[in-house]
Amino acid sequence: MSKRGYLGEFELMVMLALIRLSENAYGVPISREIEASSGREVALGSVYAALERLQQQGFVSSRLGEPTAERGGRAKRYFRVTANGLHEVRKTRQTLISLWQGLPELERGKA
Amino acid sequence: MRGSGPPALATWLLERIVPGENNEALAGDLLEEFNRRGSAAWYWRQVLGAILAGVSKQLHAGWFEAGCEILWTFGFATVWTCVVPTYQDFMLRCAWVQPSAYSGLIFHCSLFRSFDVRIVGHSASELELYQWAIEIAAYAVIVGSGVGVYLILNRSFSLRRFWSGLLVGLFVVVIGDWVRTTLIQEHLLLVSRSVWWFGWAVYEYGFRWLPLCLAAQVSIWATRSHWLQSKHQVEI
Repeated sequence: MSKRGYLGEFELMVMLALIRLSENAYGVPISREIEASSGREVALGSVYAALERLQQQGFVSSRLGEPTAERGGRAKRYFRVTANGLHEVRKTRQTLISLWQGLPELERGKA
Repeated sequence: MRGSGPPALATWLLERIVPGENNEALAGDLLEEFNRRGSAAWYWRQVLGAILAGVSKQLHAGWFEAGCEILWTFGFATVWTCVVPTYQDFMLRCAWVQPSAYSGLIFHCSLFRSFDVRIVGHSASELELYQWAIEIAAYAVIVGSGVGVYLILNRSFSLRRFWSGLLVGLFVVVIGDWVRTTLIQEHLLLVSRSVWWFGWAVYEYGFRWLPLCLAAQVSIWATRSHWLQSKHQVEI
C-alpha cells in the first residue's frame, strides 16, 4: 500500500493512461498516450519506474504476454489498474478539484 | 521493419545495467518503438534515461545498501590509489619485458632470477603488446581483488558474477588509464597545468583514484545485473 497516500503528477498520468487503454496497456501505448496528451517525449524507463512503484503500492497489477518476433522474442508486460488504484485515482481527483476551486486567478485564465 | 537494428552497444548496456524485473519488457518495447521511429538518437536517449531511472530507483529503494556500496567503492579506490606506487614498483622488479641485444625479448624477473624467458625475433610493436598484456594483468589483480572481496562480503560469490564484474571493471579501468596516460598526459599535455593548478599529490592520486572508483562501481553493477539472474537471455 502507499506510504505517501497520494499520487505524483507522472504517476497520475500513467494511471489515467492505463484506465484509458484498458486491456491493451503495455509500455509503448502508455508512453504514446502520455506523449499525445502532454506533447513531450516520454522516457519508457520512467514509465516502467513509475509502474513498478505503483505495483509495489498495490495500485497496479501486471501479467506477461506472449513473445513476438517484432520485439526480438521479448514478451510484452500488460498492466491494469486494481480496485485500490481506482480508489486512489478518485481520491487524488477529489483533492485536486477541491484545491482547484476558489482560485479566481486560474479561472480567469491567468498563469 | 527496418533493415538495420538498434545500436548494439545501447542494447548491451540496457540488458546489463538496468535493474528490475521489467527489464525484458522494456527492451522489447524499445525495440518495437525503434522499428517505428528508426532513430538511433531516440534509442540512445531512451536507454540512457532508463539507466538513470533504474539507478535512481535503486538509490531510493535501498539507500543503506547504496550508501554501503558508495563507501566500499570510495574505500577500495583510496586504498589501491595509495598502494599502486608500491605495487607498480613490485611489478617492475618482479616481471617486466625488456628488449634484448639480439632483437628479442626477455621476460625478466629480478626477484626470482632463474625466471628469465627469452623470446627471439619480436618487433618493437610486439614488445609494446607484451607490456600492455602485463599492465592489463596487473589491473586484473586490482579489479579482481575488489570484486572478489565485495562478493564474499556480500555473501553472493559465484564464478559467473566474479568474471562478469572483473571483465566490465577491467574494461573501465583500462580505458580510464588510457585516458589518463595517453590522452591527458601525452596529447593534451595537461600534466604541467594540472600540477600547477592542483598540486602534484592531488594530480597524482586524483587521476588514479577516479578510474579505480568508477571501475569498482561499474563492476558491482555488473555482478548484480539482470542477465545474471534471468534464465533466458534473448538476443535481438
